[in-house]
Amino acid sequence: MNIRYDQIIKTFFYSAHYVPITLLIAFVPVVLGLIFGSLIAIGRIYRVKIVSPILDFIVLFINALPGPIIILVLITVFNQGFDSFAKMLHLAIRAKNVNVIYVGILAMTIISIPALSESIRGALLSIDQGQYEAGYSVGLSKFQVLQRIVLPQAFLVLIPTLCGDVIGTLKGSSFLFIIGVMDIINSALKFATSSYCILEAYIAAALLYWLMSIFIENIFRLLEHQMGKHRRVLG
Amino acid sequence: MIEIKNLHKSFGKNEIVRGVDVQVNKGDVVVILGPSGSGKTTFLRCLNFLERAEEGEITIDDVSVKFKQASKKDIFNIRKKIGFVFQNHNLFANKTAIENVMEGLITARKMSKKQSEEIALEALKKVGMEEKRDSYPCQLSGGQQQRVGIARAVALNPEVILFDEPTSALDPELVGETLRLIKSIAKEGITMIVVTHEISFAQDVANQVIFMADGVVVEKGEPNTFFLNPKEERTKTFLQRILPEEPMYNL
Amino acid sequence: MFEFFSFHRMLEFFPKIISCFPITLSIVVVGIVAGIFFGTVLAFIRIYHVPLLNQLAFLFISFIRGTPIIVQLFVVYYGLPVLFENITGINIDRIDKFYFVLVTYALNEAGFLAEIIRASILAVPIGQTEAGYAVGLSGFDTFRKIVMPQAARLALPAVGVDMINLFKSTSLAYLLGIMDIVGKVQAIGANTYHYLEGYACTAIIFVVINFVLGTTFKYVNKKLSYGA
Repeated sequence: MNIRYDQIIKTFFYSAHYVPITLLIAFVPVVLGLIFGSLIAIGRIYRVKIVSPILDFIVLFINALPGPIIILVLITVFNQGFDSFAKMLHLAIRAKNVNVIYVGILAMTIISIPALSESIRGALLSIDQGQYEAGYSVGLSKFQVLQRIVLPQAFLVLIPTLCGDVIGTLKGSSFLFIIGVMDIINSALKFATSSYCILEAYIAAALLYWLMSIFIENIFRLLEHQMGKHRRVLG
Repeated sequence: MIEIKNLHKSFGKNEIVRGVDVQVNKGDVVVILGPSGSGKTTFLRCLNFLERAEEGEITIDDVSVKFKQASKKDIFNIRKKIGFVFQNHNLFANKTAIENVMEGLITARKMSKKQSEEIALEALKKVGMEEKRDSYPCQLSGGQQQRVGIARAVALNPEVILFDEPTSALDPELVGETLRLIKSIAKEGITMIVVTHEISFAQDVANQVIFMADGVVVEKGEPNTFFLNPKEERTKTFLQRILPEEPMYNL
Repeated sequence: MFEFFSFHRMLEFFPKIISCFPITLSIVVVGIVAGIFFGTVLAFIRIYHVPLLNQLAFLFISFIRGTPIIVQLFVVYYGLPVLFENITGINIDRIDKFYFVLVTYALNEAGFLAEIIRASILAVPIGQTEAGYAVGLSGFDTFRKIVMPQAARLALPAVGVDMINLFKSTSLAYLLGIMDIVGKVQAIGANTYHYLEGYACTAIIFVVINFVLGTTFKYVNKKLSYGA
């Protein structure tokens, strides 16, 4: 049996149409992860009363679970419980009307928020205490120190880790093909069923993911270069 | 007039500062000497609430604040009157020299950008760093960073500037010029409390010397009496160990 | 609510699920061991810039790190027989799926560990090697006695994180029909239509693994850093 290279190429270009939606499924959770993850990280660092230990537990618990498990649990809960939940709220919508993609994005968001929160917390903690103290000593409030001094520096430190996290979310979202989301893998398989070229389909999907990862890495490299101007020692 | 009464500070079970009283008059240069672990740095950091003292009171002009019960507003008001120069400079890494000096003015004192820039430039001129106004800290040497740190405190025009071992992290050849700078600022009449190991500075510039050991003030007085006629045994032992035969540098 | 989730069922399923833990564990062990071995080879190829192999290693590592494991699993599963047959003429279709899965995870770990190992070797200051030569040690001995121990110590935190991730990623093996803990949950679910209790069991197992590995690595790291 020989590998049909022409099939690989054909599948590649067919599935390439689904790159935007795949990027969206990865992009939304990352953005939400940055926003809520930052809040959680800051809350944990400053030990906000009552809320901190709860956040500690949630973050550690969800981070310990594999992505596929979280996705499977969510889809099972969704399938079994959505209808009764909707009836309780007197909504007309039913499980079968909901596009699975929303469930998928919700699942990726649940995975992404605690994960990014840990990365952000690491970056914040890596900023020398002296920067905080200097800010307080010239009269800045906690919020001002964070906003004007610490967060800009922390973000720069975060960039390489964030790149890894984004690529991780992209790869994690590939599991969503299980629940029927029409992404790269599913479209490749759909194209392949007519020709029985399954291996070629997966190779094409692999190449697409590979290219997306390289693209994302380059964007982050550029971002780090642009933002890191204040770190470069001249002469 | 600044007065600190009965400051106590513990870390866990260790009481580092065990009841320290200090009086500072306007224009005074107070130097705090002492061995490592004597609590002098902790004492200083308690004054502007970088550490939270357990007991004691600070009075600046007519405003009194008890360390333990201080509210956020109290702390903010005290910090407005106190400038702080760190041992490790602690310049804001993501801002240029002039932005470092302007930061407190713009954000904390809500000054206009133009006004704060003028004040900042004046302060940088005073420390001789106006040419490097647009440099980032990573582009400056240790001595240059420290000078910007001093400008940052001076620009705020506080009642008193606290110096936490300002030269301890510097190369020996830079210590002299930094001390000269601090001396020139002192000559302008700015009140300061300086924690340092540099005896010659204390002999030359201070008008009040405080010797701390094991968390308490062992002896205090004017430099002449202190260095030539120390009263306490502890003070004598300390001075014997650290006083060189001749002053090491002429400021 | 009883239909939805029941602790009773969860307790009932737990022993069955945990009985499949050895499979999960064997994937992890093979993955780590093979990964360290091949990863070190790759790391050396990359450090010494061996011509041609260096570029191939670079591409391989980039591919492994840039593609999802699911895709790697299926490419190896469908593609390895084809490759084998073209090269050696042997048909390996009949070989147990499990071996394909082991190969995939081994390759995956090799890719990730190669970068970790390379970074940790490069992180040992060049002065250490110079000092080794200066006291008369050969190149090989310098590496073995001076650089490697230090590199291993530097790599340990990252390897710990990687190992935890490996455990989590074994949860994809069930897609190829492997009867690990997740596979068992699917099997039970197919029989009883009750999946949630099974997932809850695996959640507990994964949390425990995370805790055990995390604490162990933290302890070992502390011990090895001589209070630095």
